[in-house]
Amino acid sequence: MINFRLLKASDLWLWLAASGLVLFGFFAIFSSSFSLQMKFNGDPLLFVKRQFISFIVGGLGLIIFAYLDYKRLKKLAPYFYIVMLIFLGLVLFGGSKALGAQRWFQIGPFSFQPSEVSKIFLVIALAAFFSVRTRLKSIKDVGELLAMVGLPFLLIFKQPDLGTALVLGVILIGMLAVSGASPKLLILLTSPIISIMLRPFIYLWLIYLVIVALILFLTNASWLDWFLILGLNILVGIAMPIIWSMLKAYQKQRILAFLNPAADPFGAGYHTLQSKIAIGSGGFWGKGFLHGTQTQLQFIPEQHSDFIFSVIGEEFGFLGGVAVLGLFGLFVWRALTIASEVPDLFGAFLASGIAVMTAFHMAANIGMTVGLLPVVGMPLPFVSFGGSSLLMNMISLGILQSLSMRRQKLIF
Amino acid sequence: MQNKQRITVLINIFVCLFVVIILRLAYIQIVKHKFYLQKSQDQRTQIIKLASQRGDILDCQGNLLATSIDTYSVYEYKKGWVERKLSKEEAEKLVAEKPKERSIIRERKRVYPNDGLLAQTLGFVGIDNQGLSGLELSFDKYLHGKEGQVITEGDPRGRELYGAVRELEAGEDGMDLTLTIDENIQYVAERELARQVKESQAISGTCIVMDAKNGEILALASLPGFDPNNYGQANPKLWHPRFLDPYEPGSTFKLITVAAGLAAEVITPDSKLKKLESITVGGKVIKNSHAMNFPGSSVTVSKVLEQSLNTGVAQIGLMLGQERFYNYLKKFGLGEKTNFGLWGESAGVVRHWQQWYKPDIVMMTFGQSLSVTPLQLMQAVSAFANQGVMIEPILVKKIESQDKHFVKSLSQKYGRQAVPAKIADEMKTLMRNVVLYGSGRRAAIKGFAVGGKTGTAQKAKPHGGGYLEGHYIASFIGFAPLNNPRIIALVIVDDPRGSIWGESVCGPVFSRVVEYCLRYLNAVPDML
Repeated sequence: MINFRLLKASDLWLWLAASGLVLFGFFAIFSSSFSLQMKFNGDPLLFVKRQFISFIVGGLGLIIFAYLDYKRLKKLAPYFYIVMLIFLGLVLFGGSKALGAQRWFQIGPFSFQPSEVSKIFLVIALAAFFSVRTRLKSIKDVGELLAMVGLPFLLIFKQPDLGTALVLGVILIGMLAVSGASPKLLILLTSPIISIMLRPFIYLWLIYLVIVALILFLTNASWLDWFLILGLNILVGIAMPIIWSMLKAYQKQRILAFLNPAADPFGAGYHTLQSKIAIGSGGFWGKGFLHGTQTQLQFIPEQHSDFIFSVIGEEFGFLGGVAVLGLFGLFVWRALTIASEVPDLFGAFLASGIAVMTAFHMAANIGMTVGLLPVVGMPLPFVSFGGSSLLMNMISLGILQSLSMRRQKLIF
Repeated sequence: MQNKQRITVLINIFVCLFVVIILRLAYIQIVKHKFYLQKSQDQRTQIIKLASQRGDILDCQGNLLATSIDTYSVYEYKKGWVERKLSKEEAEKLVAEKPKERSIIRERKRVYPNDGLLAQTLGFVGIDNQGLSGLELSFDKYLHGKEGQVITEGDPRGRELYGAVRELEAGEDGMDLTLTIDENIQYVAERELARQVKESQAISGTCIVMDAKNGEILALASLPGFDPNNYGQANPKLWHPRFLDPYEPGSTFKLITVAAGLAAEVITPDSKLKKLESITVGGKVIKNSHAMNFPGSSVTVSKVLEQSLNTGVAQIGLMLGQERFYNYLKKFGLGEKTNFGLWGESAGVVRHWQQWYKPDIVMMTFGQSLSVTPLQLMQAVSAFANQGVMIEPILVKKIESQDKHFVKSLSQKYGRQAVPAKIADEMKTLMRNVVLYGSGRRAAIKGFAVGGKTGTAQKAKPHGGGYLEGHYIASFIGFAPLNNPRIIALVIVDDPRGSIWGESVCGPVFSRVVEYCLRYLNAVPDML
């Protein structure tokens, strides 16, 4: 039975933010898909209907996780984690192939993407881990942690799904930060990323290494810190060209296209350029629902999934874009508020993990549609077409509401 | 609690992220809005070309020489043409390989129903139906018409946006060209010429048949030819209409020399010239090509032509002198284009008399040291068939738009009097004697009186500096029936092996082609 007293304690702002985003999603999905469907005498509502079915399935997930006391998740975490690994392993062998990747299970007309759902399971697993070991005290702790993230990371990277693998890394760093890990550890984990980005510009990279050394010197770092931090930075710098040669051709192309989208407007830079044209031509007010010429003429292939924000930018303009950003802001702000208000560490880690994950998705996805970041396959939470993603986000919402409903229990 | 501090740090980071993205959005959507709006308009504006229908080329009877048919081309999205101008089945097969990316576009393809017939004159068109050679090129302006276009809004696959703004610019279909060529005469001319070129193992051959009254070209054979339907497979050298190029005409040119001498009254048909084995002018020794196996110490003008005596015409040249001879060459229209209508026509080379070398005056009397085009020579000789009035050769009779609103008839504009009528009649008799008694006997036609002149010219080296040893151009020019000439024809065979003489190589071709023409045109026999 519905527990109304509990429901009353749920977070109204979160409900509003999520429903606003889903609604934006339905409108944008319809706008980006109906004209092409009509041209081929298909059902103009096909994609909206399919997204609605995903929404119902996601709703079930939401209800289950909202009513489940989040504390039970802590005990369930290892099982979730193992199930996640099994699914990620299975998809590598038995999944459907498309676009040079193996990411899906095909179930009738629906496809299921385990890597999407693995994100929230990893958040749960990490929250459980950090709530027991608030500080990383030994090499063993670090090793366990790296193994915990590394296993699914490698399985997803093997598919290959660069975007999701990145998300896992960001979740780890974000939750480490919240858990109170030492700044040195955070530097150890984040500085190699900067090292990779600067590596193609050899002089900048060398200057960067000098700066890192200077910081280590000024902070009186121990010889172990010197060895680990500087060593890792140099190591990734050397390994980068080797890893580059291991990337799939389309991944290389996307990174190169990001660096200069105009160089090959009909190749890899095509998406970025067309997305910028769509959003830019939308202007302040937008061209109006169903009146976006870029969208209606299908200048951006598969626009309803990863490039859904370009539909909103074109048809609803700057106002619509800011509204979507505002809804995300509201969502993340409430998630962090819940994180700081829940009485236990597990809950706090859970909420902040979801906040980091959602914010990163949002920033990476919108960043790519406006040409700030390279094109990596990453959906816009709640908005993009796609069942697995919607399910994962609605489970996240369910967990947040479960946290919200139970945070003031002690006060009663 | 440290966690709360960390969460505050996270909030700050997130606020920064949001600010960066909002600033970026503002930059794209507000600052650069106009730029991107223009881009979106540019790339959805599509210009759909409406191909115009290319005009047909017809012979004088209305038979199709060049026309266009529907074909099917396959286009791939973002890649361009896959293959063009296929049959419907072939195109559908290609589309079936990638049904999402490929589509069929209907295009017109130029076809030449008679394959190689008249190929160099007709020419051919490129893949976009643009004229590239021959009449297709020279009359492209009329044949091509004007492409129409629709400016519309469309998607990257070329599909039109529903309810898009449309602007239409109507096109115009190309005009039909009616030629003076008669398909049947052309066929016979090519057949007979081909036989001779093969028999003589010659490099090439030309046979031009002209209506003697109005200058209409009835046949324009030039071999070896090619199939304009597959012009890409032929040697590009064969594309060019060879009859537009200049050549040294050799002895056929003696007709011009004798006519000039008669008109200038330095000789009469009965004049006696010295019977010389050789004549030396400016250090150059001029000899005859044959030994003179006939009695007497002098020769008549008629004998000079009959026997084609170089030493005879040389004397006429010397009597005329450089300036006078040169002025007659000009009167015969030599050294200037014939107004024929095909691009690439040469004017020939007739240098001004003040630039002549000493021996040139005699060399030119038998058609060396100057060059003319076959068309120029026909135009000059036509004067003898028409009381001294030259007839311009014409190829295109009529240009007519599809709706018949525009009709341009091209006919003989004016005739230039090259020599007085009396001289022309005298020339007729002299030419008649060549065929009756002289070197032109093998050009005779049963039942018709024929006048003509043979030629066997030394081939000039392609880049100047004298003549090629053992290489000749054999030719025959003449007309019939003599009293009321209907047909003028010129036959040229380039570099024959075996017999090199104009009489034996070109005379029979002339005879067969002209005989066919006369019977085909129901000419009345004038010699029983």
